[in-house]
Amino acid sequence: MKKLFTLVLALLLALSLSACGGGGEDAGAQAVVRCGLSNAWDSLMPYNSPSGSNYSRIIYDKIYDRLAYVHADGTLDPRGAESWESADGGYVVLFHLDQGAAFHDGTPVTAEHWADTIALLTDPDCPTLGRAAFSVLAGTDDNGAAVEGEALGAEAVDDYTLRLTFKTPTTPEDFLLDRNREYYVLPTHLLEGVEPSQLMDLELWDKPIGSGPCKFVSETPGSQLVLEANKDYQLGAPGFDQLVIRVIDKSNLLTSLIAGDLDYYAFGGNVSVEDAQVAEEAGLTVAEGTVPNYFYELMLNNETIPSAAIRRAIDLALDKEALCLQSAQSLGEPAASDLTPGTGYDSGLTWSRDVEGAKALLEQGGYDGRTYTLACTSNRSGLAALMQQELAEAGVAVVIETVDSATLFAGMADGKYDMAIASHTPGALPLWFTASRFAEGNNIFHVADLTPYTDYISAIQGEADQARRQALVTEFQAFLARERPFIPLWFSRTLHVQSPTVDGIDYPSSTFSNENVWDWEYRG
Amino acid sequence: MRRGRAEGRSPRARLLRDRRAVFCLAVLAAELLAVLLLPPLLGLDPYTSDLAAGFWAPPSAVHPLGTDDVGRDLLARLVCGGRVSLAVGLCSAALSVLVGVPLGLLAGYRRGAWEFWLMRLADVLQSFPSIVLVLCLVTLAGPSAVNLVLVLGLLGWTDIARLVYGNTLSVREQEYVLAARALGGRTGRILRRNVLPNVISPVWCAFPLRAGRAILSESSLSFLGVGIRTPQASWGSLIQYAVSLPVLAGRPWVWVPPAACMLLTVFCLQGVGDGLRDALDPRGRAGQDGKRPCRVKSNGIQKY
Repeated sequence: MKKLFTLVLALLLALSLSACGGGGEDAGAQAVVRCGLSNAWDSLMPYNSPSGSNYSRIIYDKIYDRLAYVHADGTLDPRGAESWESADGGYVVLFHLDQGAAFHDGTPVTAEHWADTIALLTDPDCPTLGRAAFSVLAGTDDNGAAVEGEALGAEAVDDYTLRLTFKTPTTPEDFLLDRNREYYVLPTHLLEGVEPSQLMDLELWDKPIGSGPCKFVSETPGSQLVLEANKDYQLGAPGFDQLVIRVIDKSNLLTSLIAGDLDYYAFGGNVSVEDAQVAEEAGLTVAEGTVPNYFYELMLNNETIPSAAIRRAIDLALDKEALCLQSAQSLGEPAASDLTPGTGYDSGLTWSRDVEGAKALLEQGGYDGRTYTLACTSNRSGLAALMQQELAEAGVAVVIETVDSATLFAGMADGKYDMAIASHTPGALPLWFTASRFAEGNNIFHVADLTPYTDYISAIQGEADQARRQALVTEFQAFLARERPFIPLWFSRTLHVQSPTVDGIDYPSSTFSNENVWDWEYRG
Repeated sequence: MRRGRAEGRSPRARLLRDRRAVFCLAVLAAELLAVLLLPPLLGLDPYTSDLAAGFWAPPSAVHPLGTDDVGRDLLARLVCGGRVSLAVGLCSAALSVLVGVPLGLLAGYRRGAWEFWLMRLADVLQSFPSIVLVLCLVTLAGPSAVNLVLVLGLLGWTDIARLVYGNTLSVREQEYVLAARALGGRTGRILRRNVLPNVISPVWCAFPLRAGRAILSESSLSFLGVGIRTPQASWGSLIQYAVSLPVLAGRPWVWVPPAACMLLTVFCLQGVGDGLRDALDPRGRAGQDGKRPCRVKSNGIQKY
């Protein structure tokens, strides 16, 4: 009866959606893969995304090529580059490009295209929004803009060898895990004579030409993007003719898949445990992710909560087990650090709840009974309510502000909120979380003195020896546990609904903003 | 003679003879008593999670309506949520009346600039899609029951003011008003003693309808996540759980009770509003033969 009711509801939703769709496309005999995306991309120029969101990156991933393909477990596969090697004591990485790669207009992709792309975007006159990605290269400032008189750390050694020079020793793996999704090659042969200041205004970005696995066909901004398979893609032709990406509200993605209105939805067909039951009852297969896809943290404002003892008390007062169960059901594990489990780095820290210990720390920290503001998005209001109860047990008063995601981060940056619940896609690097959050330009936790943090981060980044690096990481994590500038909550895996009509999807890796569309096979 | 007896009955007596209105009043009274008395009597706690019962627990002896996503008792949240929903509905309707009646009186009695500016302001406010306007204002003011009352109440005055304005235009030309004015009565006194008692009847009818609309607005806003502040509950915020397909399809005990309560309340408020209109209608025949009052349409055909 329940199953029947679910199916009837799904069908009704699908009927209403198709009624709103205005007819849909005439696929004819073509193999059309219909993909859902819950938020729209904001630009088709990969270096001009105001949000820099994964929703935009997953689109760029199709049209433009990247150097490598990053698997969910942190391993790398060749993509635009066939291989890579470290040189000059770790300051240089040489990328040997795939000689079969070509732009959609047939022009081969060379190292010159890559070097010119980077030179163009690091030009201070170029109004790009994605320049920060280049700040790791030699010859650039902290914002990624080229410094006059210094050699830019991107050059073509020969037609198919790209040389990137870094400010600090960087392994190719570290660079690719950290930055791969921000580096795309542009068709610079079509940009000759274009002033860097005019780059973003070109009509080219309305009908972009890239070298990725899919070619641009048409766009209805904010609503639909039609791509076609790049049959000459160097890693193989995608097993479909067209890829139609539609923006569909998040709550309708699964029902659209069940109703057959979609073949797949980004990222990786993720579902909650409860939705997974609905999917299974509707006959779909659900697979469990193998690596953590989410890291939850409680952001703290160290300016309004200046005492490390109080911050540690908040950590001890929270029942991370219950919080994790509420949010991720059985798919998560409480965390004592931000180091992603299974990546080879270990903090050596453990977590357990201790309400009495929390009370003692609150007294030690001189907690005056003030009420803290906890910000969360509406879908996490239950989680926030649970936290509120747990903190109240220890004597910490909290009031909840339910806001949208942009307001939450803006509020934390402005110091408006004392705490906020946030989640992130974890990385395999030991500094994936901390490096960007303890920087002068992004001191989101409002830490009074960043020096000890940046010292640790620089030391870890500059250490190539694995054992010594692990020792530094352990030391840094112990420091973070003492200072507790933010509270790691848990890591959780996700569930993936398998597409009934498309084979070959690497579901777990999709969460990391790249999709192996060249391996997809449409089964109709 | 029968007609004379009917006309002689008081509005209260006429209201009490309207079975539908009495039923609706009884239901509303029962609801009010329940939301006020049940929490202390039964020791209902809408804010504390019962982790032993678990999240989304189905109905049981301990939790007759089950638990929510963080293990809180849904019966407690339904009852306490009803308190918020009813309070927002009734208080915002009262605020609308408090603002709308004086403005309608002023516009209708003073006319001129008062009439022009107040009625144009009402036009402007009514030209916005109300839910969008309310949504923007509540977002700006921040989510809380007090802000909801203020926003819904202050935006709801236009209907009431128009109602009073229209009636005042007619009453101000009545001889007893002209006489009071000729005798040198002050405007405030004339409005209070001569005009207001003769234009207020439709407002009593409009009040419950306005309260019902406010309850629906509060529910819509809570459903959209901008209503009351977490962890407070309202019927709208409880219905919000139904946006999740597993809850909608698999846990009807979560959203059906608040939806049913809201439906019943709004229906009863409408019933009371209709009953009041019939009872206060001087041309009405209610009480004479138990039928609904006769109203004359613009084309002159009588409608029952």
